[in-house]
Amino acid sequence: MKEPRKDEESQSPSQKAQDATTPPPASDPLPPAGLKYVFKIAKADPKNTFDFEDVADK
Amino acid sequence: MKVALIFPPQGHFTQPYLSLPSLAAYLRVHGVERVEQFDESILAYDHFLSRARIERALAKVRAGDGLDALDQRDALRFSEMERYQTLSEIALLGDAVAAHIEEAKAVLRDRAQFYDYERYLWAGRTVEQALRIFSAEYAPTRLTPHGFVMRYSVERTSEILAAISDERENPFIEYFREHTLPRLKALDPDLIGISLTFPSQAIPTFTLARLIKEWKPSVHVTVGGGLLAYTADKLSKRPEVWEVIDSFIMLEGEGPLLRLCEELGSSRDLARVPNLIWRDGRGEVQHSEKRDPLDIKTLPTPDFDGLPLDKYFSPELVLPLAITRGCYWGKCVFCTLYTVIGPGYRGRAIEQTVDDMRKLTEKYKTKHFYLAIEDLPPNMAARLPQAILDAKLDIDWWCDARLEHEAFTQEVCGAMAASGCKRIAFGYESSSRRVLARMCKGTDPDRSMELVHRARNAGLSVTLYVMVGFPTETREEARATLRTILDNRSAIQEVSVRVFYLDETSEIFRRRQEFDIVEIYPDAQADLQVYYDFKTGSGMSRREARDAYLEFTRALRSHFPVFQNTNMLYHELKSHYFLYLAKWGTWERLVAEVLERGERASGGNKPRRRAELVRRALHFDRASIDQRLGAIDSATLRPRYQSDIVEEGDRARFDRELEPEFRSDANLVYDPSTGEVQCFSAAAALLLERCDGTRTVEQVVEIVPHAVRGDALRCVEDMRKARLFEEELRR
Repeated sequence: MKEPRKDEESQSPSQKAQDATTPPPASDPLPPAGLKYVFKIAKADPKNTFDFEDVADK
Repeated sequence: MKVALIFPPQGHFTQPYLSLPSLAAYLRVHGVERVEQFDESILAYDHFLSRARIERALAKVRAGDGLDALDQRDALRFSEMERYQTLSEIALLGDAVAAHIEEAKAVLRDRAQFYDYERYLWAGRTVEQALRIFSAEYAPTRLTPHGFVMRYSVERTSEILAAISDERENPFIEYFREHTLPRLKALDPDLIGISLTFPSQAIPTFTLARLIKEWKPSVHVTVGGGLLAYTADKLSKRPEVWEVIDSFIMLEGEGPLLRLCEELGSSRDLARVPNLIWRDGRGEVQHSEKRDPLDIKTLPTPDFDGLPLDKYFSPELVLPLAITRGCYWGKCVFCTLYTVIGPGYRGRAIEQTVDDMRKLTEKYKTKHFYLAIEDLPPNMAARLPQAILDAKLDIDWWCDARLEHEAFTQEVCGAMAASGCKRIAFGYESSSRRVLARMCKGTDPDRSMELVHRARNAGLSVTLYVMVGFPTETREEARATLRTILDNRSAIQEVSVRVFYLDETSEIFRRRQEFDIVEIYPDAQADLQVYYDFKTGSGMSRREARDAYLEFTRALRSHFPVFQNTNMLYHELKSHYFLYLAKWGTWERLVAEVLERGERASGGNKPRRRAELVRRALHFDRASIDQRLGAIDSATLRPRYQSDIVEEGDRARFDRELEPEFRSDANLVYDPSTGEVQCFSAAAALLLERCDGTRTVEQVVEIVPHAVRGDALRCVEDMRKARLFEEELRR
């Protein structure tokens, strides 16, 4: 499986915050009050799970 | 004479190391009555990564201040962010990882499943996650596939000795007591030899030695191995050390260890054992006569009998074999190996090597070899491949080599490939003639790159070792090296990059003024200090070198297929990548059929999130926390040698000075099929919730205002790419 490149991930346009200007259609329930329209997905990256230097050591 | 040889944690878990099999073979051939070898590193991993053990760790971690308490806060300080990171992962996937850890190990050991790349990645991630859960029980201690670190420095004897009785943070005390000691008691040895090669083994070595001495004070505990070439003299000056260790064997162990067996079985005159440091009856530290190592042509084939060969986390054995010892070049000013191995370069006869390979292939039913050598010498490069072919050995192998333009002709590279060489790792270091000349590397960067292409044309997978931050190296020179590598990436499969460290046993340390090193910074508390932080009058500062290193790693992850999914790399260095190469035969096939296989379409017109996804609502943004904690590395001024655990003083400073992380609702999503965890913003989580198979993508995003629907559509597409929707995933 090929994963997205890191630089591509960081440039995802969906990460921008946007102002809410137009109300949603009446047929759908309203989104929670105060919801920020930031659409962001990022792989979890726990600190120091991996370092090239650790690998090189052994 | 009964002898126990022990490889202590922590070493890599994909294949056995060569130290014990070399020693065991020599002692057995020379008639030592009983020699048993114990790889306590792989046995410890196997035990720690068991369902019961992970469940116990979960129970202990959950018994403390939990995630809910942190989630009630308005803001998190640095140390709380670290804990939040751990606890949120555990809350999300702890039970699933415990339930499947045995299955994950089985995948790594099973030929059919291991080569199913998706299964392999799932297993690798599950092992990583399980090790994080296990480590959380002993926080801040961290055990990973590649290291073991505690908050205690292995550069300070006093801290090592403090670590060996810290039951709360040292996981090996209980492990050795309950698992290793019973094995040793069953043998009841007269001599125990511990192999100490990596800094990650230092605390476990002393922990085990102490427990052994508590059990049986009369047993002679000797410690040998590569790390002692750097530290034994210093250790020997500390009286506390002699309470748990009886002697140190310097340099290669075969001759001295056999002599030690003989002396312990007779007159007990340790002065007659060469290359030994011990303390005599008057409490005086003694050094015996230094003697050259044995001619390796006289050594037997390594003997792996008795090692737990079915426990390594690989489906097929990759056996290490040393056809040379030492480095035939021996001039690089940064290197210390040629001074601490041997001394001197020695080669085994080609015929012996072929005979070793045949014997090991037949005995252990494997065809995979890692030539554990510093570099393949030109004469062997010219003759070994043909000898393997003449002997009709059906094997795969890999090794390190120097970029010898004259020696590795196209014909030689072709013969190597024909004889089963799948991978060759060259010391490239830099594209700068000036830097290479200062290193005394003896290579020309243009001719080196020509050779790299030759090796690639012959079908070998090429790895380059690269160093950044060599004294006087400029940022521009480091960037030029990176550019050269990227420009030639069609011929390079892997790059192993590291920052230059100033090692006190190296030539450059002795001649440091010549390299514009104007100041070094000894740590007065670090009696075992080997590496020194330093300042140069020209070139990059240490901080800039670390930044250049990080720039390298980002570029590698962006441009090299093998690094784009880091889980392949997590486990590969010793054997997994090599096994994958051997399985698919060529790099091209590996790329086409595994690494860059086309994505399956997922989701369809009405995307349905996969039923097995596990979601957890959080009050803090884990993605932001991950990013901020990950960035601490370059903000930390301390040099990173053996441990990246943030020291107490720095932690307190970060707690005071760093901007806290404020509340921001978010979600974590765990995919049990792949083992992946994604951080979702609250709005993204809302969209995922609506992807229930009843709505088109357009209907999914209808809930958000028009102005942001473009972003919302892209977000759903990101979910599709992350394969969070129903599709034909296998497990």
